[in-house]
Amino acid sequence: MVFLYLDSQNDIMELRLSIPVVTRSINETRSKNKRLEYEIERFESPKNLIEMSRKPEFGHLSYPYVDDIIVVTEEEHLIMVEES
Amino acid sequence: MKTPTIPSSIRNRIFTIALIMSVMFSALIIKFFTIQIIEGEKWSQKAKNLHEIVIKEPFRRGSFYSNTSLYRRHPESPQPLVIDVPVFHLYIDPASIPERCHDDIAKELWSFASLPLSSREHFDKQFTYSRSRSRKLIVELDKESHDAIVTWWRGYSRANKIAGNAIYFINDYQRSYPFGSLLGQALHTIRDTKEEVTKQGLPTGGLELYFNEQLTGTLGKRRIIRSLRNPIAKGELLVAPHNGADIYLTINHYIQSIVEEELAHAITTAKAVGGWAVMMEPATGEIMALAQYPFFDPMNYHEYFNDKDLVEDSKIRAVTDAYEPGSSMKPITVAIALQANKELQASGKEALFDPDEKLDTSRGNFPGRSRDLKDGRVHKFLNMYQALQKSSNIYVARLAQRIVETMGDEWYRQAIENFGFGKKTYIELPAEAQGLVPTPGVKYASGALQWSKPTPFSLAMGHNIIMNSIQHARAYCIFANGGFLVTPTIVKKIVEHHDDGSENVILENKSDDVTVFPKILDEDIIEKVIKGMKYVTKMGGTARRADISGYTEAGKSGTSEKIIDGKYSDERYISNFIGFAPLKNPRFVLLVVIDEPSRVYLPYIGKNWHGGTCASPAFRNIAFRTLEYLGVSPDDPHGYPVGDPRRDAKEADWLDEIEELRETYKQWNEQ
Repeated sequence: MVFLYLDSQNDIMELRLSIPVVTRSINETRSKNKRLEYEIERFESPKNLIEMSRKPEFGHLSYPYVDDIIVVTEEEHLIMVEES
Repeated sequence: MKTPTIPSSIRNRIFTIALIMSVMFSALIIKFFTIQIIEGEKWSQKAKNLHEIVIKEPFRRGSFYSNTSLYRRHPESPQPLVIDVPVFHLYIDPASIPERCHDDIAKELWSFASLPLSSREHFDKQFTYSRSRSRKLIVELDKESHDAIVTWWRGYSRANKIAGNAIYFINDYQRSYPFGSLLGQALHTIRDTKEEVTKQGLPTGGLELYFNEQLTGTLGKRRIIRSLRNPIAKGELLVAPHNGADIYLTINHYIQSIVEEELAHAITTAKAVGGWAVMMEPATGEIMALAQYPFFDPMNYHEYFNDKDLVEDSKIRAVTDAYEPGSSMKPITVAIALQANKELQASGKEALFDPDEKLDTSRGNFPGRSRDLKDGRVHKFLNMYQALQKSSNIYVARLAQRIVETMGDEWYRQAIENFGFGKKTYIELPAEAQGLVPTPGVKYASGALQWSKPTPFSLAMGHNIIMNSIQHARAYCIFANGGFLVTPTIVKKIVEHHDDGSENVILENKSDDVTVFPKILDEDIIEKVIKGMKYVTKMGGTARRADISGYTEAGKSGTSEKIIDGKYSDERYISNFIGFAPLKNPRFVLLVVIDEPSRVYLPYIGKNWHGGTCASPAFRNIAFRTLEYLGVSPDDPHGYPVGDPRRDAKEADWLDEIEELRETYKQWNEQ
C-alpha cells in the first residue's frame, strides 16, 4: 500500500514538473498560430480573392442567389435520411 | 597532587578575552538581529532587486472584426480586420555585461536591428550605461530574429561567462493588418512608441481613437530572475494582464474591397483629386462600407503624418468634410413640397402643386436673385417626374418659392432639418462635421445673413446647405426604408473575451426593427419621389451610367462648385451620385463622392465633372457587384444595356413609363 501511495505521489510530481514545459509549449504554439493566422488572412484577403476569381481557371464559379440556397437543418437532414 | 594554580595575570587575560569574545558575539547577534529582523524587509528587497526584475506583461489590445452576417444563408465565422501579432522588444542589462564584450555584442545585435546607420552611435551608447540594469535596444523583433538571437547568445554568454539574461526580451503585440490598407481611414492604428507612464498604445485616429477606452486592457506583471542558470527566463506571472474588448463592425470586408476597388478606378478615370463612398443598410443605419481614395495604409502611418499633403488622406472625409450636395438635394425638396401638399390638404386648403402638373420652367427669375437660374438645357414645361429626371433647377426652385410663400421660411427650414441635416449623426467616428442648414435671422461669422430672400431657391437645388456624407446617405435611407430617420452606426457589438472562454457583451446594436426610428415621411410621398428618381438612370435621365444591369434602382446625381477661400470656384467641383437598389426591399443606399474631377468634356458622354458622368459608373459597378455578392436575384432580368443578349426592351421594368414620360415631354416642349 505504501509503495502504491509513493508511486502515485511520484506520478503526480512528474506531472507537476511537466506543467511549466507544457505551458511554455502551449504559449509558443499560440504565438505561432497567431502569426500563421496573419499569414493566412493576408493570402485570403478579399483583394487577392477578387483577383483570383478573375482568372480563367475560376471562370466557372459564380455567386449563388440566396433564393437558390436551401438550408437544411440537422433535424430535417435526419428525417430525410430516415425516410430514404 | 597539588592542582597547578593559574597565575592571576593569565586568569585576568582569559577573562578579558572571554569578555571581548562575548561582547563581539553579542554584537554579531545584535547585528544579525538588526539585519534579519529589524531591517529584514529592506535587505530582502535589495537582494530581490539584485536578482529579480519585475516587468510589465502586455495585454492584447482589442481587435476589429468584419460583419460576416450580411451574406445571408451562409455560415458566419469571425473575420479579423486587425491581428495583434506577437513581437519581441530586446533589452540589455549593461551592468551585467563586461566592457570587453561591448563591441562584439553590439556588432552582432546591430545586424538584427532595422535601424538607419545614423542610429548606430546611439545604439552603441546603450552599453555604456554601466549603472543601468535595463536599456531598450531593439523594438518589434519577429519570432525568427528572436530565435536567432537566443541561439547565438546561448553560446556567446557561456563562453564569456556572462549572466544568461544580461540580454532579455519583453513580449508585446504589433498591430498588423492582413488586408493592408483596407478600411484604413476608419480603422487607423496605434503609434509604435507607447505612452511613457501607462505604457499604453497611443491611437492615431479613427476607430482606434474613438474606442480607445474599450480596446485598452490593463497591464500585468511578471518577475524575471537574473542568474547564470536563468537564460532569458520567462519568469513568474505575478498579475495576469486583462485583454481589451473586441469590436464587431457593421462593415463587411468583401463589400468594402469591392467599393474600394471601384472607387479607385472611378477617381483615376475622372482624373480627380480623391473621393469616398458610403454604403448604408437603409433599415438599420448600419454602415456596410466606408471607402476613401487615396488609401491610408495604417502600417505606414509615419509617411502620412510626416507629410502635410498626405495627412489629409488619413482623415475620414465622409465624416469630417461637409459639402454642398448639389442636385442630389432635389428629391428631398420634392418630398418636402409633397409633405406641404399633405398638410395643406389636411387643413382644407389648396395643395401647392400636383406632381403631374405642367409647370413653366422656361424662365429662371426669382425674387432676390441678381442672376436668373438656369437648367442644363431650356425646358418649357416639366412635371415633377420629368424635373427629377432632367434635374431641373428652375422646377425645384419654383416649388421652394411656393413652399415659403405658403408655409413660411421657418417651416421650410424645419422640414429640411427633419431629414437630419445640420445635426451630428453621432456615428462612432471622431471629428464629425455638423453641417449647416441656414437659419433665418442668424448671421455667418463674416456678418452676412445665413438666410436671405433667395436662400430657399438655392436650398432647393442643394446649395447654401452643407452636410457630411453620413447625413447625406441617411437622408436617402428615408426613401429606401419607408420614411424612417435611422441612426447611423458602424458597430454591431463590443465583446470582452476572457481566457476561460467566457465573454461579456458590453454593447450590442440590435436595430432590426426600423419602426423604432422616428417616421419622417409617409409611403405615398416616398412612392412618388422614388418614381421620379427611377427615371434618372433611364433614357432621358441625367445619370444613365448609373443604370444597374438586371436590377432596379433609384438615385440622383449632384454637382456643386467647391468653396475656396470663401468663394465658389468655377474650376473645382465636388460631384456625387446617391441611390439605392433594388427598389423592392432595398439592400443598401450607396453614395459615391468624387472630389475635383477633371473639368473636361468627354465625347459622346458629357461633362466629366458632373456627378452623372464621373460618380454614377462607380455607383453602378459597386451596386451590381454587391448585389451579386449578397446573392440578390435580379429583379429586372430584361433591363440590360443595348447589345446584351439578355436585354428585352419590351419586358424591361421601365419601358412603358419612360415612353409615356417622353411623349409628354415632347408634347410640352417640342411643339
